[in-house]
Amino acid sequence: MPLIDIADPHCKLPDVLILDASVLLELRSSTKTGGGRYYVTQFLKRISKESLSGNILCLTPVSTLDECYFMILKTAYENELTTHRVRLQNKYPAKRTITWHDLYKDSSHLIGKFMPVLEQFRAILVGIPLVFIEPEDLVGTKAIVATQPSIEERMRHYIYSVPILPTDAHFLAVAERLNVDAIATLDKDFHGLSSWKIYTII
Amino acid sequence: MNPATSASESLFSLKPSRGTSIFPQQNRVFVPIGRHRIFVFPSESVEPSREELETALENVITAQTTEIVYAQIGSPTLPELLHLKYQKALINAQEYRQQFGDPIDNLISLLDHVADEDTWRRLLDEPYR
Repeated sequence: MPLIDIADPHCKLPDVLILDASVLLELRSSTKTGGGRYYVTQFLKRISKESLSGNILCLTPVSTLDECYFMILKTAYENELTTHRVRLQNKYPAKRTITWHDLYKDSSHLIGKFMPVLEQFRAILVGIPLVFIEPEDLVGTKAIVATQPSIEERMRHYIYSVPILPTDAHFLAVAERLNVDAIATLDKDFHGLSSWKIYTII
Repeated sequence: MNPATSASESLFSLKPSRGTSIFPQQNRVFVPIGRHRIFVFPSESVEPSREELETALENVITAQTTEIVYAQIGSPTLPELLHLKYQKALINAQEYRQQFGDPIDNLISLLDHVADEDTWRRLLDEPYR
């Protein structure tokens, strides 16, 4: 049973679940009624309630926060671009298209303006509650270090065997190190994992 | 007597009526008092500083802090570590909710505030790195 539909409000939840960025960012702006945002909202509210009751442990690795923070900053820069586009076009006339990245390279200090958004985002995840998995949590005991393959080795394994890109392969390697086999993701690249429980929208 | 050993023995001597659970077979102490949790993992190879243990002990007795005091003496197992992190996350979540309300509703509002629907869709469609 590799794929579990989170649109089913009664789907059986695991004891431990690890969330990827696609689930958290699905709650972005949308004028659609129903669809992914609705189901993910209901799913997150459900696991939030169950987590508060001690029935499920929801984990998020720092690499997932990395991806979320990156997307939020990227989007915030893109939003800011409207007030800087003409200035940047005059400054870089050889560029055919001005992007958020050009604005970042030109005005990296604007990140300070966006930091409150990142702080609020983090606080919201704490409120769910999500448990953040830091790199030191993966170190384990001497016995683990001596007997288990490294995260990097397992990352390469997943890149090849799934196949999947490095960021997602690293996510799997971290979940494996934590002995977690249940993942919440909307990324279809994970659908080929037959021995994992993938909580997604089918 | 080693000051650390002395403080550690004081922790072991806490009465069960104060909510103390002692698992001597695992050489570990687990002290819950209300919302407060203090874990101590004694080990022969790594000892806590006297200050660390005295602070932990003081917090057990007075329960003055809302923080979890974690005296890492040796390494907890992975389930113990996750349990510890969960207990801390739970306290923080309850405090967040008391102050700001439902986090999922707030996440929707925050992401709405960052950018409009078209901007999000366009940028999320790009591969991540």
